[in-house]
Amino acid sequence: MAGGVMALLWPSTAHAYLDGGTAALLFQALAAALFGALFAVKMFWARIVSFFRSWTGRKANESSRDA
Amino acid sequence: MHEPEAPESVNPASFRDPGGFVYRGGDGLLYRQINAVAADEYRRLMDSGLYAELTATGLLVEHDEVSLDLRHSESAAVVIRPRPLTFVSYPYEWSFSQLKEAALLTLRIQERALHFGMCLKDASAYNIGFEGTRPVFIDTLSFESYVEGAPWVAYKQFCQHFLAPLALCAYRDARMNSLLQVHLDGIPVELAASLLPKRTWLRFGLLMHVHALAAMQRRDARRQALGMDRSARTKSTGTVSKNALRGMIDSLQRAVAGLSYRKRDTEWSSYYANNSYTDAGVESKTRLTAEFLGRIRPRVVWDLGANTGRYSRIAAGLGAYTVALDRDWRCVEMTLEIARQEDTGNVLPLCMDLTNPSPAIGWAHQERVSLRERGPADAILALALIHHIAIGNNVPLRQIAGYFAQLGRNLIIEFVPKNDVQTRRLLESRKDIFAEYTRERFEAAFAAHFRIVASGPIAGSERVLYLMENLTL
Repeated sequence: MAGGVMALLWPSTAHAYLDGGTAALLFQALAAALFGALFAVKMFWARIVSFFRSWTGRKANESSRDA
Repeated sequence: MHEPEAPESVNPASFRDPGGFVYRGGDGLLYRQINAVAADEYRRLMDSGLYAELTATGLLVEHDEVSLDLRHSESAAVVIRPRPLTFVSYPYEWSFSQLKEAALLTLRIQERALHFGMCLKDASAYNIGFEGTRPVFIDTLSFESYVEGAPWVAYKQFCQHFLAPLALCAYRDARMNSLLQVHLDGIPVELAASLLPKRTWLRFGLLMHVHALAAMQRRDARRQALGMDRSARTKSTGTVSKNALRGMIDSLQRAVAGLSYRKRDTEWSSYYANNSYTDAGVESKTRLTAEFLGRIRPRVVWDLGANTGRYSRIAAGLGAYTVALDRDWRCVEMTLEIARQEDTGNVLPLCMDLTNPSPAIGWAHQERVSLRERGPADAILALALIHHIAIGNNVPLRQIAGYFAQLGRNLIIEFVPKNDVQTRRLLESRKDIFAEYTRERFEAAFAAHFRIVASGPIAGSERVLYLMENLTL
């Protein structure tokens, strides 16, 4: 059954010998939006943090020049 | 003397993947045959840069490509010779930390694979082996091309082989790991969900990848049993984007990383208590052990009842690859920790009950081999052990000798007499029915299989350390 689902929607992965389990495959599809969003937030947050760090780094350099 | 070439034998555990299998060649070496159907994926693994990166970082086992003449059957397109493990071990023999590291290694490899456009097609704990203290991915055939939009086919397997047992060990008892010996494809998430405490619902990773997944599987099973049509559901599902997959892997990684055994379970100090030995006793035992090992010069040593690995490290220090077996997982954890701190890489600590050692299991009783079949070792250490088995477990000396004779070519064994403080402790609450447990009877029992080469007393006690040579192997 799982093989049928897989072959229908994603033909190239029919090589996989493992039965991924219909429920587990469905679960991933249902939760995909959630995990995609979480990952996007994680990447976005990482960018914010690195931007903030470079910004404070610049500020520290400026203030040490003024002193 | 020239040994006749052994016939080739396919590894009886290597049959599920039509892409290839592992076998022992006529030269006794380990080979992996990659069949034509899997050749493209193999080429991709090698050419994409993934193999190079994973082997450079020590995550994946290295291999050499060899001549097709060494193939086992006509369906071969490529033959490789991977670097073999010195000793094969199984997830139900690992401590919590070892299983956790194997889990994180699997996820790291999956993450790197995605980066190179590939994906793990299975996530079994048997893809991992330990070389001493270091986990390494040993299934070179596990990689396939990543198809954008496809869900991870190995997701369920990962949850069952890694997340479920780790969660059970962390939230219930570390001994739950032994469930993996019964459930060869991992602990079913529904079973784990039913055993975990309710507070695990508050951990996002366990909520999603154990409880929610379990609910989904129960529902699906019910619908299947009722003959309900599930195809309508499947056609309407969306795809799993690459970012969603990476998010899922990240979530699994956090879930695993956040698990740890409860600190109150680790009362290390009690294990260091060598309080029945005087300093002189420890010194003489250490000296004798090192001396006996020096006479044998073993390549592989099994330390039975290794406790925290004090004597395993002596063997390792003398150049032997030492498997430190103990049935207490806390000792195994400690042996691992100390070996790493002291940078003794050639010690492999494992959980093993010698009175009920790992049996041969799986299809046709052949997929995962018993302890004995992984030997014989060049030398067996049986220190401060015999009284536990003979008296603590009522096993006659003759039978202990018989079993040890199946395990190693040489034996370094400590006889602990009945009047010793440790033996008396074992007899505290029971009737002494062990009239046969004497030094003379001990020597006679072992003489049936071994030749006593040397012996020496342990200072400050009546214990004696023996060096014996196995006459039957």
